[in-house]
Amino acid sequence: MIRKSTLFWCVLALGSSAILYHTSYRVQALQSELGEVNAQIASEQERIHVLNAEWAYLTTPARIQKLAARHLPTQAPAKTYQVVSMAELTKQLPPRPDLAPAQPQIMAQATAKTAPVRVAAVEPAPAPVPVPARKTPQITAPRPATAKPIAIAALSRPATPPGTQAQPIAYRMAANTDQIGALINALDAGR
Amino acid sequence: MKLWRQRAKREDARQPLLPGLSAPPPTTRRVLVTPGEQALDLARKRLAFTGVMFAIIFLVIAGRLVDVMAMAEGAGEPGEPHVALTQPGGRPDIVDRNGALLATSLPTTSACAHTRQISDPETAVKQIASILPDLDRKRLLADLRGKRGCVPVRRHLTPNQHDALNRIGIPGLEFLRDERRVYPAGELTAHVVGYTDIDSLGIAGMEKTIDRMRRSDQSPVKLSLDLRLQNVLAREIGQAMQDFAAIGAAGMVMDATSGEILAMVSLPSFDPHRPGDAEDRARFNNVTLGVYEQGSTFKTFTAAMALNSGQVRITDTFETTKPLVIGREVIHDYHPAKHNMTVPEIIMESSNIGTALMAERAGADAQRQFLGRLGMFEAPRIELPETGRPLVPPAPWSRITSATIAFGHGLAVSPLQVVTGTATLANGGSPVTPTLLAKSGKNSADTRDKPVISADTAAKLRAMMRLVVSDGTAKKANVPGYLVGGKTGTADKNIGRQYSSNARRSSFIGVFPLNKPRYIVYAMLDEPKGNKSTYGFATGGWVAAPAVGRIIAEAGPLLGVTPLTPEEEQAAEAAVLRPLGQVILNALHTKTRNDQIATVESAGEN
Repeated sequence: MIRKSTLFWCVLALGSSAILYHTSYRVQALQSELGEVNAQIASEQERIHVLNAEWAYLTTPARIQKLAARHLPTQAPAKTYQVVSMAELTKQLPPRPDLAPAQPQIMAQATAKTAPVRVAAVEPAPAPVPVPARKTPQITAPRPATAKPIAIAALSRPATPPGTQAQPIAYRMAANTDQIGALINALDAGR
Repeated sequence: MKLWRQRAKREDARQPLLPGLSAPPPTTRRVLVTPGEQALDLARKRLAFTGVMFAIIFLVIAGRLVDVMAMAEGAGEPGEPHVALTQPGGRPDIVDRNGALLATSLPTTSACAHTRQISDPETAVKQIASILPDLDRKRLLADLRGKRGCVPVRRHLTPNQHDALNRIGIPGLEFLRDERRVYPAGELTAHVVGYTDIDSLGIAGMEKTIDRMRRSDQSPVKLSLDLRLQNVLAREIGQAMQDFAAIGAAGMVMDATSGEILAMVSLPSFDPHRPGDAEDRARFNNVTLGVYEQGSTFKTFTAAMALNSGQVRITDTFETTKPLVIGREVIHDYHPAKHNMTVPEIIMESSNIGTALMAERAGADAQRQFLGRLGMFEAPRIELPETGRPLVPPAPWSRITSATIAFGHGLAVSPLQVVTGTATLANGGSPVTPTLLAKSGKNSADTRDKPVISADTAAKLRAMMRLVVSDGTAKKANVPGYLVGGKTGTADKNIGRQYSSNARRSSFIGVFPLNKPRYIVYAMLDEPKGNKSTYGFATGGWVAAPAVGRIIAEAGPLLGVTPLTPEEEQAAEAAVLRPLGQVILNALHTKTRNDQIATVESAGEN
């Protein structure tokens, strides 16, 4: 006759051994998976190493120089006069058209190396003109009729009558590059 | 326990009563009388104790099981990976100061054949030779017949060869994992990086130094080289070598404050993957291994020595109108002067006579001591195994020896030593140790050593170096925006015991920016020949100085040297020249005006 206590302990032993072996097999499976993953990592590292070496071959200065000569013929190594400090930069830039045009002293300080900058012959505006705070030049900047208008005739936009609030034109990336070219030419001509 | 007591009770009940006792003894008897009963009792106690122990142990195990199973679901962050993730192969990479790869190991496969497993050697050799056409058949056949073990068939197979050999299906052929050193920059850095043998052991250059260093970690070795500057230097010097049909060339760019070598080129160069195919001349490092009489670049050392000793002042004049006669020897100038020169003029126009007289006034002992402190008498200490010992005449120096050494003949040193010496003088006198390993930044102002010259002498020397470029023999090295100074050198080569009049080594050593000297640029051409553009001249000012000027113009923006505006440059030049004194400057202005009226040919000088 099997006593209850014996039965209880037997069942407990069987249960715990089942759990033990289950855990053991799970650990073994995980370990083998870990080994596989580590091997994959090692082989990936080796591939990265080989690719690094190939990259180094492809970016040797001699090869880059040849490619640059073929595809970027207009670019050359930087010359010394292309490197300037910020103070020098402000001296050499053309003036901003949305500022008051009385900037002749800056022109006088320009060094001989810079191209002569044409000063727009604009008389001081008699009436206060609502100039927006935006840096980009306005196409429809309202100018009083007495001042010489900035020549942006390439763009067919009617000049707004003086006094009215000018609506800033939202700049859209023109699909037609001719428009951008014309705009730049016009802005250059107006300086 | 209860069962045991019950059993004891039942045993008690069966015991006969002792005669004479009226009442039965108490039912649970605590005193055990017979030895048998005592033994049984002891056994039961031991069994109980063991049972309790086991119960405790199993309880602990059960508890731990529950613990592990239930609590492990929310385990924390994963531990360290078990695989050591190192690079394939143990040899460290070599990189330049910006991280560009100069040398690395790639995994390859090598084939060997087990002699015992190959039953038919001839067929095997024939099959292998069909894949590897340049196989040494006889040797392999002999090995397969005679030797034991795995005999080598071919090292470093390409993947296609590996695949093809595998497909043949020779049973004894085994493929082992191997590694092979490759040099992406190739011949651009061949002399500095060096090369290895077939077993990836370094046998030249930095590869050999790495083996000697025996570093513990496998992190990349960072050199002080800048690959972009190396390219600029190699290109310009190679172009000059081609233009003037020179047989060899050397170039260097060094940081004078830290001693780091930013570029080192020796031409002709070679392919480090096939060093055996290259000529000896190509594998010879002209910068560190070759020792030559440097010529007039030595005059800066003599001037610094003379001024520093106090025996010569900057305003002193020397008799440079007649050749200097010492015993049987006569010292000439390349361009005989028409008037006695001051010290700056001697350097500016590179007068041999004037320099010899300066050295004579300072004394041969002072000269030898000074050159020793500049490191001219020992092989340079650098991380390359290929360094050349200088050729020095034994002390004490005779008058003629001292005079010739003053203008760079009679003493043979390597270009590295000249550049190091000039760097020491240019940075104000603190001794410079050249190095090819990148220094980590801010410890370049390590002025523990006593300065070699005083600050006053250093300032005067800088001024004289500026005069060489602004008004002297190296006008072609001038770069607007950078205050460039330096010294030209043209040394006639020795052919036997005579000096050849047709073969020379022309060099120029440039320092920039002179208002805050930082970089030394050196270029040397071996046996240049003048062409039409140089009117037939092949001296340092005509062939080396223009190359250095172009290098400085391209390297300056790369190195981050801010160019000066014309006004700033004028002011800086005036500040650099001020230590010469007003008297000399006034005299120079007059001279410059007179020279401008004279012919253009005064630009070619020794």
